[in-house]
Amino acid sequence: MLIASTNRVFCRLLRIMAPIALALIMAGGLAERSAQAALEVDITRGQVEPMPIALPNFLGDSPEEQQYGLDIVTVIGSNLERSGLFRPLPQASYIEKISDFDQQPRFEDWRAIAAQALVSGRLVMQEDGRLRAEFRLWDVAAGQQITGLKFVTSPSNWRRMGHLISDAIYKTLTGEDGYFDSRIVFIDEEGPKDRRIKRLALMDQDGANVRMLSDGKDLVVTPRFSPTSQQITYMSFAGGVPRVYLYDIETSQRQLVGEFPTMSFAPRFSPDGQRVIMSLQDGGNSDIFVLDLATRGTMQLTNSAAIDTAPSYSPDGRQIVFESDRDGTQQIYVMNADGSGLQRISYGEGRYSTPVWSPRGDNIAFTKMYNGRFAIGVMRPDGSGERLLTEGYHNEGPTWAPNGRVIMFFRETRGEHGGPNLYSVDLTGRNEQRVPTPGFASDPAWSPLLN
Amino acid sequence: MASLLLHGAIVAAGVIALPSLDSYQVEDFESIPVELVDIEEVSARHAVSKEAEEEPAAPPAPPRIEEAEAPKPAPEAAREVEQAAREPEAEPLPELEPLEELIETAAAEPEPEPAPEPEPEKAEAEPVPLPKVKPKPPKRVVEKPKPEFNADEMQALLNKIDETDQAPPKPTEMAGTPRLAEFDSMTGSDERLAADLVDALRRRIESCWTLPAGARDAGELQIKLQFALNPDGMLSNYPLVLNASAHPAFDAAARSAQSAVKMCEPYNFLPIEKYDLWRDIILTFDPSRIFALN
Repeated sequence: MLIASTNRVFCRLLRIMAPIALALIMAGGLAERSAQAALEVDITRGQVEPMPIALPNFLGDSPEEQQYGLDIVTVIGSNLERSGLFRPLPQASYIEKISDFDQQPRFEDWRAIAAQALVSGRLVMQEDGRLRAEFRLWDVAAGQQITGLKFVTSPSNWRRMGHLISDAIYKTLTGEDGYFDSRIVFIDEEGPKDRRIKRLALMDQDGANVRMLSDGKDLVVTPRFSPTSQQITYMSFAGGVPRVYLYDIETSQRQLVGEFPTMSFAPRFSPDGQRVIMSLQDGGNSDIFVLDLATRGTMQLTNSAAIDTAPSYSPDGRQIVFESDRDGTQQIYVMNADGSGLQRISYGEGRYSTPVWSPRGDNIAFTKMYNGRFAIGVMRPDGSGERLLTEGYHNEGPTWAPNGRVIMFFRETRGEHGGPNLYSVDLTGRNEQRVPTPGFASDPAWSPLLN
Repeated sequence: MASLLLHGAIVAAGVIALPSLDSYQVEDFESIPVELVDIEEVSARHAVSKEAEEEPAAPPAPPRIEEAEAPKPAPEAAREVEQAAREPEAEPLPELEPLEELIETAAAEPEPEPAPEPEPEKAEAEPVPLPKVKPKPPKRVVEKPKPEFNADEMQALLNKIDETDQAPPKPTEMAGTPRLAEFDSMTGSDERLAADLVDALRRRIESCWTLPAGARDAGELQIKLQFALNPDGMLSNYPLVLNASAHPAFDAAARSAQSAVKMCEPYNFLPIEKYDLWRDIILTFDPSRIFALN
């Protein structure tokens, strides 16, 4: 039966092929039809559901390895689930208990629980003291391995291993780059509203590994990540004077970029990380300037009687988006990197501010104020396709995940005991999540992938 | 054995698309170990991380079979190499040997391995033969010919209704459009039946298909699959992907479409007496109407 049926398929293909060959030879001459027409069906709808994925604990020989296996799978499952694109299936539902990493899974067992993908893995504590994680990603329906990778690192770095594996799975199954192996710098806030202590803080994208980068003595605001390195800029108001600092996370080195008495947002980096762009006030107006980090030379890009501020580069470095009230109310404008070709792109009701260009270039995120409420939205660089992803009493400060599919921002709650918290929302607007932080948190800035 | 034949069938399918008959090479699939899954091919690569800890490396484990089967540079593989090359910034980078070597070792290794495969047994036992033995590379193999694949020609021969990618025949059109006299046996009620079959299949598959939501411009992804059904409603072959696209999410979306068709088994709600009408099926997945945004 097996053979017969296989043969049938094979024969049919041959039968189809023969007439085609004939037709080609005869330049489209009459060929006898020997195959029944196929039934054609258009599928134009589907389920908008996260993909069911099975994540059994990674295997290990020793209890220590098994613990890492469990911990890493937990990180992966949480990453994938928070993305909104995957639904990790509960382990209790698994029929097959994977016990050998080098053995092909019983795909029927995974199909039976409707898993579309399966991840199997193994952890090995190497003799050199490093931890090795290996995993395979299986296409359950096709019954084949889609990818298999191996990572080695120091055991203390096991979380990153989980993030890297998450990114690999995400990329393979969605075709888009992942964003899990990245970090967030933000302002940690503590204490009552009138005496709040603000510290510069750093954490993994999922809220783990929080680290304070400043002691809270001086007010710090608006950290920005370099798109090319683990450097940030931020503003500190030590002594009441706004200073811009450049801080290297890897070396913990800090250098003063300059004193800018009337600056209100820290500068943002150019895509190559060599320059920063910022707005400087002069009397009642403010204009956009570029500062070369190496030479400290500046160049003025706008010169208007209006308030031009919050500039952000396009990922190719050729354009700049910023907000300005030159037409009466705050709106969003795009210009070339040299200041030419100015164009207003926002025309909706309300006021638009803090535009940020997506790392993948296709959208600009912004904060929009209207009817006394604050929304986070996106529009295309030409101003079309405006969509609000979330709105409420107070939302502010969008920052993009490195893959341009998720936006993080902070939301303030009312009241005496209210305060800011971090949230993320994806481009569909359907998947909004609170980002865990130790206390109140504001001004998030997303790093590029760590690599 | 079954797999071998299927592989043959797939290669043959690829050949169909190519004008030249010479390219029908049997050796290609003859020498390929079919069922084994390359378990051994996880390769290593190291990366250094910041904070003094060494970072994980991501070695691409080239799925042996795919690579081997498709003599073409497997876009995949190329990409992986690139990635590997740029990723680790320091580290010893052990042996990031040329991909080819990896493939070879990978191909060689699994053989001796006892790679236990529950598959064969399954296949034997089951009344439904082929479904299990899905040839690994269906997708890639077909993709290649893609550019050449002349849908018009194929369809003319099959007497299908012409369809220009973008304007897929609606079920209604289908019912109303007189076939080119090909279906001698087809009566008016058969045509209506065909429309009903299309509707039934559509509903079923739409219930199984998860939209490729993560990708940018997902609406531009169009995936065309071909497969055959056995009389019992089980797949006779794992769906072949008939088209190709440079869209970065195409592979992922195609995989999910194939998966949906498989997960939807069995298609036993179709009338057996009209098996001829639904034995061969071509599906066009077109999310363009769904994704205005994203």
